[in-house]
Amino acid sequence: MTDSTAHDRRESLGGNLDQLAERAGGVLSRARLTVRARQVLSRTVSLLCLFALPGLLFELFRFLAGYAAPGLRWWQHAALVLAFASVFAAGWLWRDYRSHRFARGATLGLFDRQLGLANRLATADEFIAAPGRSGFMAAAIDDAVEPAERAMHSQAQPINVDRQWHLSRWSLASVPGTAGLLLLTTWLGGLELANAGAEPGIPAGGASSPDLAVIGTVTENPAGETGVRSAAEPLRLARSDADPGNTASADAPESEAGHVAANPSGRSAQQQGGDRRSTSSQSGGMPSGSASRPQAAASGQQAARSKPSASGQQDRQAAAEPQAASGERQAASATDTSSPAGESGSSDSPGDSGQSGDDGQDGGAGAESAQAQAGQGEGEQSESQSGAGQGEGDDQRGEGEQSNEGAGEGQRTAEGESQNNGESGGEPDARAERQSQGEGGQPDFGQQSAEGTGEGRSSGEDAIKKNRGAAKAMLALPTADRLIGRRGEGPEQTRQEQSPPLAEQVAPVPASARPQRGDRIGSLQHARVSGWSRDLVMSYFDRPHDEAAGGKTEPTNTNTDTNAGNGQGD
Amino acid sequence: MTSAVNPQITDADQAREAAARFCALYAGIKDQVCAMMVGQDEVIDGVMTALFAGGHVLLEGVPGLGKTMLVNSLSKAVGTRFSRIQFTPDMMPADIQGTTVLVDTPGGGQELRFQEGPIVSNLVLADEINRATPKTQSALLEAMQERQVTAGRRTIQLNEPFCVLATQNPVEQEGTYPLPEAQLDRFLFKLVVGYPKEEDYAAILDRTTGSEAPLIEAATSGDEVVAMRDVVRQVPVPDVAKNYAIHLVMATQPGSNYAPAVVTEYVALGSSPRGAQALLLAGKVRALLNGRFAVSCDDIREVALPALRHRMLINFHGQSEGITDEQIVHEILQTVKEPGA
Repeated sequence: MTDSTAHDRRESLGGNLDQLAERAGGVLSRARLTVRARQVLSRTVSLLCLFALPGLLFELFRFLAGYAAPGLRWWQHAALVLAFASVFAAGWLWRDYRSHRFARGATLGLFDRQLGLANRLATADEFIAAPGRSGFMAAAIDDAVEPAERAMHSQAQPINVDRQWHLSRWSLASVPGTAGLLLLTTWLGGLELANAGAEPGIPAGGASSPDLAVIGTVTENPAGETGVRSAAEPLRLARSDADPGNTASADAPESEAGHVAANPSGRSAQQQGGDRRSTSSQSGGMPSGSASRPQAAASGQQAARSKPSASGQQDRQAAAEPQAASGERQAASATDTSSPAGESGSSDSPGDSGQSGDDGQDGGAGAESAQAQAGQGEGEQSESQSGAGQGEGDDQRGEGEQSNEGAGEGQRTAEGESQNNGESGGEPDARAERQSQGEGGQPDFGQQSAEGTGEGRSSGEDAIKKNRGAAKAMLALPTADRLIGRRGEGPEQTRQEQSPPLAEQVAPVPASARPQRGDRIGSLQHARVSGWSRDLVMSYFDRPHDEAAGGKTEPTNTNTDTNAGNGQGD
Repeated sequence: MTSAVNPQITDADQAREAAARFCALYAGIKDQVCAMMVGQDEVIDGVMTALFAGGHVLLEGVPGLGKTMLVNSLSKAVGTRFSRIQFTPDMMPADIQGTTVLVDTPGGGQELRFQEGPIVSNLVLADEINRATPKTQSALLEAMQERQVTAGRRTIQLNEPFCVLATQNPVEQEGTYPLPEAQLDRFLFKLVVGYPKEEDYAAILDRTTGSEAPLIEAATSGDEVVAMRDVVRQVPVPDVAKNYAIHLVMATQPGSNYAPAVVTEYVALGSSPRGAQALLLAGKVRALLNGRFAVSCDDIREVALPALRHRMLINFHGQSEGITDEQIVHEILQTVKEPGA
C-alpha cells in the first residue's frame, strides 16, 4: 500500500469508527431497553399497592365527606391502577432511555467481540483521540484500519439477553395486596351508597351514635358525673394497683362516684393527676372551710401518710362515702369564700376526724392503722399521724398526695397544726420522729410544709414507682420501705511505722585468743605447662621486670617447675 | 548482535520493526531451549514471558520434571551469567548475598575483601527455595524488587537482565518453610510444571539417554534482552484492557464489587497492585507475540492464571473444601466481563 492510500484509509478510519459506534449503540440500546423494561415492570408490580392507594383514598374521602354520588366500580378502580402503573413504567423507561448513553469504547467493543478483533477497534478509537501518539499507538491505529473496513460490511448481531423474568417475593406479594386494596376500595364505595341519604357535611351515622350523645351531654353539663367518671377511671385503677389488698372497696361504683365527685373544680381527676404539683399547691392554698367532710377526708389522708398500706384505703374510704363526697362538694363550693390556708381551725370537729378513721376501718383498711386511729378517736391523734406521715420520705408523700386529690382541701392546715405533735402520733415511727425533730424548729408548717411537700412530690404514678417499684405495683408483693443494713466501714487505712534498730551487745574477742595456723594448706592443682607455652608465659611476666631493671634476665625454669611440682604457685 | 537500549519509538514503522525483532528473538531463544526441553510449552513461554517482562518466576513441580534443566537451558540460550543456589535449611543470608573474607595479597600480606554471593548474576536459579529458612529467603527480597544487594555497608547494583527462577517441590513438606506472602508477591509468574505428555516421553528418553547431549547455543545476549524489555515497556495499554486488569485484580479481593462468591467465601487475602502490574507487563509481551501493538483483554486473560494464582491466600474453609487457586482464577475469569461487555 502506498503512502497516500494508507493515509486515506487512516483518515477514513475515524468515520468508519463513528458509524460503527452508532450502529453498535443502537443494538446495545435495544438490548438494554429489554433488560430495563423487565426490571421496571418487576418494580412496578411490586409497587402496585401504591397505585391502588389513590383510589382507596378517594373512596375514603367520599365516605367521610358523605357525598351521595355512587363510587367507581371495581373494574374502574383496576383500570385506574393499571393506568397509573403503565404511566409510571413508561415514564421510568423513557427517562432511563433518554439519560443513558453508552460509552464509545463499549459500542465498538461489541464489534470487537463479535468479529474477534481483540479490542482493535476500541483501542484505535482511543488512540486516535490521545495526545502525544507514540509509535506503537500509530501502529495500533493502522492495525485497526482493515478490521474497521471489514466491520463496516458486517451487521452487528443483536445481543441475546436473558429470557427469564425474575419476580421477587415482594412483587409476587404485591399482587394479592393490590387486589385486597381494590376490594376494600370497592367496599368503601358500597358503604357510601348505603349512606347516600345522609346530608352532606354530616358524617354518616354520627348523630345517632350513643357515644356522641353522651359527649353532647357532657358538653352541656361539664360538672356532671357521667362525663367525669370516665375521666377518673384510670386514677382508680392506679390506686387499686398501688394497694391490691383493698380491691373490694375500690371496685365499688359508689366509691368511684364519690371520689370523683370530690373534685371541686369540676376538672377531671385525670387532669389533676397529670398536673400533680399544681394540684398540691392549689389544695394547700385552699382554705379548709367549715365543712366537716373535708376534715374527715383530711384526717383520712393523714392516716394514709402514717401507714402506706392504709393510705389508699383511707383515701378510698373517704372517697367511697357519698356523704363525704357531697361534703367535699360543699367544701369546693365554699372555696371561693373561705379564708386562706393555715388560718382556719382545722380541728374544729375532731370527731369527724375520728369518724373518718372509723370509715377507714369500715372500708377494709389495714387493721393496724385503723385500730390506732380508732383507739385515739380524736382529731388530735389523726393530726399527729399526719405529722408522722409528713416525716416520711418523698415516696411516701407521693402516695399520700395521690390520695389527696379528692379530699385534700383541709388537709394542709391539719398538717400544719400537727407538726408539733409528731412524736405523739398514732404510729411510733422513728422516721417520723426524725422528721418531726428536723422540722420542728420551724414555727409554722401550715402553708410552707404543704408547698415544700408538694415540691418533693412528683406525680402519683411516679410515686408508686418510687415507692414500691415493679414488685409492689405489679406483683403485689410487700416491699420494705427501706433496706435494713449496716453502713460500710469505709476504706482501710494503713499506717506505716518506723522502728529504730536496736544495738546488739557482743563480747569482744582478742586477737591473742586466736591460735596460729600451722597445718598445711594442701596441694593446689595446676596445669603443668611446658614447651612454648611456658616460655610465652614466662616472657610475658618477665618483660616488665626487664624493662624496670633495664636488662634482661633469664627465666628460671627450675622455679617454675618447682612451683608447678609443689602445686604452690605465687 | 544488535545493540542495547532502544530509544523512544515514535514511528509506526519503528514499532513494527521492533515488534518483529522481538518476535524473532523470542522464537530463537525458544528454539534453543526446546532443543533440550521436550514439551512444557506453556512453562517455557511463561518463563520467557517473565524474562522479557522483567519479572521473576516461581516454578512448582515434583522432582524430575526438568525445572532445573529448563533454567539451565534458558541461561545458555540467553548467553548471560548463570548461578545456581541450592537452598538448604542451614543456609544463611551471607551465603546468598556475599560476605567479607580474608585473602592473601600478592605482596605477602592479607586483607579483607568482599566476595559477592551467587545472587550477583543475571539468571539465578534458586533451587528448592522453600527449604531455606525465612531469614535466608528474605535475603532475596531486596534483590528481586530493587535489583540491588546490601551486605553490611556495601550496596551492589545488580546487572540487567536479572531474573530469579526459583523452584519448589509441593509434595515434600517436611523441613520446608513456605514462602512468605511478601516474597510470593514479588514473583511475576508462578508456573506449575506438570508431567509430560505421552508423546513427549520418547523424545525425552532419546535426548537424555543417548550418547550425544544436545548442544545449546546462545541465541542472544543480555544487552539484547534488556533492549527487548524496553520495547515491551513501550507497548501501550488501552483503557479497556487496563480496566479489565484492574477488575480482575479486584475480583481476587474478598468483599470487593467484582469478587465472585467463591472469592468472598474461600479467599482470605487477595492480590495486591503488583498483580495488576504483572498482568499488564506480561500482557504486553503476549500482545507483541500475538502480532498486535497494544494490549487487549485477550492478552490479559491469557496471563491471568500464572500472574494471579500465587497472590491469593485461600482460607481454612477453602482448604478444607479442596478449593485450589486455579479454580478461583478460572471462576474470576468467567465472572468478570470485559468493560462494556
